Amino acid sequence: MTAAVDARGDSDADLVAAWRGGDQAAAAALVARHTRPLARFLAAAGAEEDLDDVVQETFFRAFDRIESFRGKSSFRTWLFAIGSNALKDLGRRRTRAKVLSIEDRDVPDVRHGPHEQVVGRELLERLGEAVSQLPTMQRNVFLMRAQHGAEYADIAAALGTSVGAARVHYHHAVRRLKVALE
Amino acid sequence: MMDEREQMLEQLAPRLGAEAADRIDAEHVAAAVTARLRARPVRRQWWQRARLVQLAAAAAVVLAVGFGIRELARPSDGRQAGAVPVEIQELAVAELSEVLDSLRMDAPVSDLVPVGLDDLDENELTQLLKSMEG
Repeated sequence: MTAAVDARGDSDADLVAAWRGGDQAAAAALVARHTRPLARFLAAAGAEEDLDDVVQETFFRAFDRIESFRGKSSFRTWLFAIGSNALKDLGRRRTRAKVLSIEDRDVPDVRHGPHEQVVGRELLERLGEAVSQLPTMQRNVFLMRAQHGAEYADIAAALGTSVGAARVHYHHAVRRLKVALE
Repeated sequence: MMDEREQMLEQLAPRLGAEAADRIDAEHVAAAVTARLRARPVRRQWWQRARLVQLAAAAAVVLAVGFGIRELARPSDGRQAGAVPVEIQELAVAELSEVLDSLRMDAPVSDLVPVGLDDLDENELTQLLKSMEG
């Protein structure tokens, strides 16, 4: 169903407009399209076993206040910004001892042998821990850019900051994370 | 120029949260979200609230104008029409009609029959309010 729903081929902007017009199927198509990236973002930001709840809450908030989406950022980065707030509001973000995937099926592992995979796992866990310790703005900017490849202008629009400030947040985040990987 | 650790960051960052995300059932999320959206209480948008304010203001004007028309049309018996706003008292019937026209509302009475809202029954009042809602 997910693929079928998303097979409409409409742009995000078209689907948002359709939802504003009362088209429930448009909302379902947007959910199908953005659930996985949103879940990755939220999981990296600190959501764990409550990930499903935070994802749902994020979409609900987004559709409930869709009039505030002006199209200055992409729908996805706007969704990430809402998700970050939802995670914070739900009060479920906590320091994590364990983190994240190493058996990723979408992104090829950069390590190949068993030893390298163990090293890769440790690095990924350390990185996940370090990301969860970043200040919210740095974490949001870092994940939007490094995890999802968003442009600074898009990030800045979604987070209500300037492009320059977004660059600075990213720079500081990378500097902290590099220390964590030493 | 990126150093080794920056390159490592670039390689690792896209993998963050991937396993947890794989466990999310997008179809289930879509069903849950749309169900919550359908169940939410209707929240009036700002333009809907503004429309209610306009409606209330228009109703107040109609009441005042209707009362003024009735007072003006009543044979003079020497009493002061103290409750009627001075501005409305000073208007002729034709001018009052013009005011009503400017409000883009049909006058609730025929041109020559001076009555106010007090003279309308419940059905007529309902019709009037519906016509004001457009």
